[in-house]
Amino acid sequence: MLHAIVHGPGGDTRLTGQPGDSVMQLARAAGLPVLGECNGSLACATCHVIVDPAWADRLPPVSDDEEAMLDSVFDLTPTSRLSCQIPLSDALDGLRVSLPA
Amino acid sequence: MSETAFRDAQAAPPSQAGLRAVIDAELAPITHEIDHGGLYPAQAMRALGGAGLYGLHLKATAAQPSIGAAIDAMAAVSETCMSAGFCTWCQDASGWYLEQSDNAALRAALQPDLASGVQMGGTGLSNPMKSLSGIETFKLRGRRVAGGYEVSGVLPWVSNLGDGHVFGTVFEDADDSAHRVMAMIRCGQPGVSLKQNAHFVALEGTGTYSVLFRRAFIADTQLLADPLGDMVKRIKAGFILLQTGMGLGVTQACIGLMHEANVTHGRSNKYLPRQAQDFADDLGALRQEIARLALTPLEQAPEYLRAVLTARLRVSELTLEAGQSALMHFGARGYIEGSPVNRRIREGHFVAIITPSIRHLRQELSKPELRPVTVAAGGTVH
Repeated sequence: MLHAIVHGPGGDTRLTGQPGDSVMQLARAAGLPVLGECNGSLACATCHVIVDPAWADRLPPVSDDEEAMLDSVFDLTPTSRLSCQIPLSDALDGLRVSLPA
Repeated sequence: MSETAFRDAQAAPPSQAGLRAVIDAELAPITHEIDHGGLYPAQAMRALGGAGLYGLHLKATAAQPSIGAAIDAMAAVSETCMSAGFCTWCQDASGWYLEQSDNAALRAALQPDLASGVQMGGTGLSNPMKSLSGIETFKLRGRRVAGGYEVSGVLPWVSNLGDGHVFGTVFEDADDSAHRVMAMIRCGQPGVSLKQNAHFVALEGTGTYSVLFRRAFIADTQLLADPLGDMVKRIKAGFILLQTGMGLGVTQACIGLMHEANVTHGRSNKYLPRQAQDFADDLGALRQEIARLALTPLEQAPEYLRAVLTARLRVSELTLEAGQSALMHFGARGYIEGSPVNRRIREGHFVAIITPSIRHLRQELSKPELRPVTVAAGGTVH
C-alpha cells in the first residue's frame, strides 16, 4: 500500500491507496473537502491542492489542459496542482500536499 | 430595435399552432443529431426566438408578461426535445436576471436581443445557488479594480454557451466573503474562455462548457447587482418555476409513449400499477398549481416559496416516474438503443439533478422557516 498526507483545516489526513489511485479519489473518499466535480476529466479545478515544495519536482509534468485549469485558480501557488492528476506511485509514497485556504 | 418597437412587434404571444409549426419544422427533424451527435440547435433556437418564445415573461417584450406562458412554451419545446427545452430555460433565465436588475442600461442593451433569439444567453447560477444554501463554496472570486472587478475561477458546467453568448453569474469578493456581486459575462471577452472535456449521458447538444476566468476584467457596466442584496430572492421563484417547463414537457411526451405502446400491448399494460391517464391527471393538477404560482413570481412569503419548491420537486419526481412507466409500457422494445423511451429517461433524469436537484430541494424544504403545505398532485412533503 502507498500513502500520501493531506494537510487541511482539521490537521493531517493519511491517505492509503494502490498504485494509480489519484490523490483526488482518495481524498474524496476520506471525506476531505476535495470535490473533484468532473471526476478527473480536467473540466474543473475543484480538486486543487498545493504540493509540498520538497515533493513538487517528483510529480508528473503539468499537461497543457491542467495548466489551463490551474490558470483560473484564484489562490494559485508555484506548486499548485490538480489532485486528480497525481497518481500514487512508489516514487510518490509519502507525498505531502495541503488544501488551499 | 428599440424596446418600444420590439414590444409592439411582440405584443401578441405566439399561438400554439405557430409555435408547433416552428418546433415541427426546425427542431423535430434534428432531435437524433442533438441527442447522439451533440449538435447545438442554433438555427432552431433562433427560429424559436423569432417566434417570440423567449420574451413571454419580460415587460420589454410582452404586453402581459407571464412566467406561466413561458413555462407552457418551454413545455411544448421539451415535449419534442428537452435539450432545446433546457436551452430555452437558459435563455429565459438570462432575460429574467436582467428583468430584476437595477442596471437599466444593461437591460436595454441585451434584453430585446435575448428575447428575439438574436443574442443567446445562459445561466451560471448553479454554484452560487448552492453556495448560498451552504452546499458549496463560491467558485469565482473577484477583487475590486478601477472600473470593475478582476475575477478568477472555474464554473464547471454552464449551458447554452458559444462564442459571443452571455450568461449571468455571481462571484465573491476575495477581500470580503460577505460581499457578493452578480454580473452578466460575455463568452470570449478577455480572460473568459470555454472548455469542454467531460461528456454527459444526455443533453449533449446544449452548449455546456466549463467556463474559465483568468483574471477577467468584469466592468461595472456588466454588473447586474452589486452588492447582491436581495437579487437572488427576487429571481429565485421565477428561476425555479421556469424550469418546470422541461419536466412537464417530458412527462407529456412519456404519456404519449404509453398510449403508443398500448396500441400493441394494451392487454398486458392494463395490469401496470400506473396508467397513462393517471399520469395525465397528475400532470394536469401540477400544471394548474404551477400556473397559479407563476402569477406572483416576486412573492416572498415562506409558504409561497415552499409551494414553489414543492411543485418543482414534484415535477422532478413525476418526470422520473413517467419515464420509468413509459419503459414498462414499452417493455424490451423500449430498452433498445435509439428507442424514444431511452432518450426520455435520460432527459428526465436531468430534470431531477439540475440545480436545484431533488436532494437540494429536500434540503431547502427541511428548513424550519418553510412550514409544510399540501400540494395538489403530490401530498405533503416530509
